[in-house]
Amino acid sequence: MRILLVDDEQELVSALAERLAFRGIQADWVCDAESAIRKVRADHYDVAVLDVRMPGISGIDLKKRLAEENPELRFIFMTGHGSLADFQTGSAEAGSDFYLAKPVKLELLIEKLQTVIGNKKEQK
Amino acid sequence: MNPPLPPIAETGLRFFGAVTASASHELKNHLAIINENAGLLDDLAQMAGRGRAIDPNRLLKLAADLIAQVRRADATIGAMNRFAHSVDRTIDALDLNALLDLMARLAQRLMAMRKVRLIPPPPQPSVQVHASAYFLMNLIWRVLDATARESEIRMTVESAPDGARIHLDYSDIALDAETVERLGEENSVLSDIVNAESAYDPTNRRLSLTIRNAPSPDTR
Repeated sequence: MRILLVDDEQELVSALAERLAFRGIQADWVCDAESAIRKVRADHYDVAVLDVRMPGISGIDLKKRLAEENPELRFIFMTGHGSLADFQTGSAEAGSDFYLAKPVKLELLIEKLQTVIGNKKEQK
Repeated sequence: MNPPLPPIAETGLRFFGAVTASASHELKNHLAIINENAGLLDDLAQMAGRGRAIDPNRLLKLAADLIAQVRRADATIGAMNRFAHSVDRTIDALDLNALLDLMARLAQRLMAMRKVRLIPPPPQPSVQVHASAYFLMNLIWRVLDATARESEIRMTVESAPDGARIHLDYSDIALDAETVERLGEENSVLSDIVNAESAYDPTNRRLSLTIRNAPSPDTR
């Protein structure tokens, strides 16, 4: 399983990547949309974990750009939105992908990653 | 059915909502980073418990990162507190340098999303004006919201006859005539409340708000 973490908070994604690595999951990270597009164009990733709001682009728009580069890529969103209404709106916009509230529980993220990868394999 | 809110009440509430939503979003990010760094410390401690050598410098760096995030969160909460107290007095003697410094902090996330660098006034002697802090910030916020995109915006202040002037200098974008006209129309009520007039200098890409002193609290 190869993961790309995308969030404008470098400390967040770098720490998350290291913690995933300790658990045997290879995760790269970038802090802006253009770098994410370059990474997905150059390398194979199974899942992209995206912040919902980033400078200059929404996570939803970035998802579309990344899906153009790799149609098999799956997505999980992280959000700093606090309210249930925001969460529901975001989930609806994100479609059937998973939507996690910050601070993200690592075990929950890993569970969702495994589910997404499992679903991907079933679809093949 | 409740009667509709007057437009100025709705505008003021929307401003309050936008600022608190932005600040709470920022706080969530600080907490998320603290959460991951604390988790990383826990991971490293468990590895050390299993006999793996951990570089003490790594732990020091993580501790420093945690402290830095707590400070960032504290600054956000401090700004929220100053914002909340901006409604304590209807009219106040405002230090515009301090007010714009607060604006830069409150609008930080909104500006970052638009790839805008909002620069507060440099340290300088206090420039004061008598006005409502809340509605003046509301007016500046609306101006920024309507005009800020992919640019550096430098804020400065100067004294003016019977008041003060705020300048917003846009380094990379010029405002078109339609935007300037719309700014005036859409903010006319707020401008009246804080006795402000706006003017745009296309040559220097400078938007100026001239604010005349309201009767001071002592003379009302």
